[in-house]
Amino acid sequence: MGNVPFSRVIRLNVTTAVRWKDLLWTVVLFAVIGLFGVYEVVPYPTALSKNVWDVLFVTFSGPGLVNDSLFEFVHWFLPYLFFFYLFGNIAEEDLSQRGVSLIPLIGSRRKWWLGEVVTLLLLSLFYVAIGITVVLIVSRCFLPWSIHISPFLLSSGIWQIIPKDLSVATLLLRWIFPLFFGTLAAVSLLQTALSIQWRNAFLSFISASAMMILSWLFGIRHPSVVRWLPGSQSMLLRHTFLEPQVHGFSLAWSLGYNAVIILAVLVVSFVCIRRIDIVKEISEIHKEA
Amino acid sequence: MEEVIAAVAVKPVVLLEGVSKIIRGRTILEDVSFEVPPAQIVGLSGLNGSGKSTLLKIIGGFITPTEGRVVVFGKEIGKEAEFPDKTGVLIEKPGFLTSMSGRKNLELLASIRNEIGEKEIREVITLVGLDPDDKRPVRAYSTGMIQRLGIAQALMEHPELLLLDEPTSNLDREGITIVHNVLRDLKKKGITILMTSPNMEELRHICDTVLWVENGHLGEEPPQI
Repeated sequence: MGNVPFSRVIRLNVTTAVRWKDLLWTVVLFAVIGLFGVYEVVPYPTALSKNVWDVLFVTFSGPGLVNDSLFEFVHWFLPYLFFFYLFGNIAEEDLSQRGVSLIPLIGSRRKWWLGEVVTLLLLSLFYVAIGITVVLIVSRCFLPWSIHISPFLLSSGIWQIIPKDLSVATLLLRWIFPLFFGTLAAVSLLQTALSIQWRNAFLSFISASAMMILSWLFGIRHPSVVRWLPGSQSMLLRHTFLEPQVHGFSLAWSLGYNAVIILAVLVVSFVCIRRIDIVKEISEIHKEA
Repeated sequence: MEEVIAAVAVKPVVLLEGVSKIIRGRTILEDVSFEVPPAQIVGLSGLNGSGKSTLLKIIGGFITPTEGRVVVFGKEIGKEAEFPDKTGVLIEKPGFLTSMSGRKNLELLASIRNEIGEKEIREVITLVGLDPDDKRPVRAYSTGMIQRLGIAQALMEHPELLLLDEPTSNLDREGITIVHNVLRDLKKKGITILMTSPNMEELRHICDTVLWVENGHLGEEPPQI
């Protein structure tokens, strides 16, 4: 029989989870999101030059502490919602539709579950990468490319202290990418684990979405609770260095917060998955009754 | 004497001892014990709700018994192995990716262990009366075709034990004949088959032994009408 190589499990999961139309809609979504960002940046009256990184910042920085604009919220929330819809329930779908044939072939519930977790994290990574790339491409149609942050962004009123060392690398690799990816991975992993526990894809999708919506709502004008809310972790504009009213909300805090969620979900789920019934108990009772 | 020694020496493929299953306070199975000898077709019959499908699911490792032990090919399920080795399974409605063809579905599943190739997959699809070159997605299949594809999936990795839950449900007369012939051929090759059906007559027609499940117990077979 032999051990099934883990790479084969991942390859199978990615092959079955991702369809061409999903990729297409992801590109379309981020193109629209990027256009929203362009709409915010380009018409802004200023003599200072702007570039593509302004759109990237506006697109992925999230709503601010006092910003209750629905447009800003939707601008930030849509990518998460779409990911939850596309991939947040792949594990539950696999379990309920093909669990009987799939999991025995893989050989163990834990290996199957680990495969689902790694697949989801990989999909999160690619999704974020695609999103950032598409937004940059769309904004390039309206604004110039540069290897530096624009004078407009550096001098904008959002900065309490202008970060002198702000570079493109910092913006992209230390702020936007880790926060977007980390939050997406954490909340979607939680969604997936809940979908397996409850055996209900819809409920887990609603829960994940509600988590993000409530994080936005409860965080508005409540600086003391902001850093404790899961969705806030990706809201760059609510972090302390951009919003001094919020204390102790550093980038390191967000990275640690998301890591704790991911770790907690993994630990609990690995304990529970070992004895999970592959066939639903409820279907047992209904069929046999 | 030689026959006695031979009988004692043959280990059962499946052994159940004192298996019970209680779900939310309701007893589905109670103290079920039996053996399945090698190269036999054993049938489990009973009314709807008798517990026969649950028994199959427990043997397959898909649900855990509340009490008792299940040993398949010498390994205790749940302790020494999560799932029985070398076992093909058809339980409940077979699930496939509906946007892909039947053959593509089997190819994806076969890619996990990589022990069989396109040739074997085509053969097993043909064996159950389907067309391996049918490019239609599974969502276009009839219920009977999906059932046949499920049987093909259970057979494709050359199992030594088959667990089949109502394999001929949703099949037309031709399909039933095909499945029965396939099962008889497999038995001749030494494969052990445990199948359920609410149709006692069907089981008597094809099985070497039929066990009657009633209210979660193995009971006496009802008299033939």
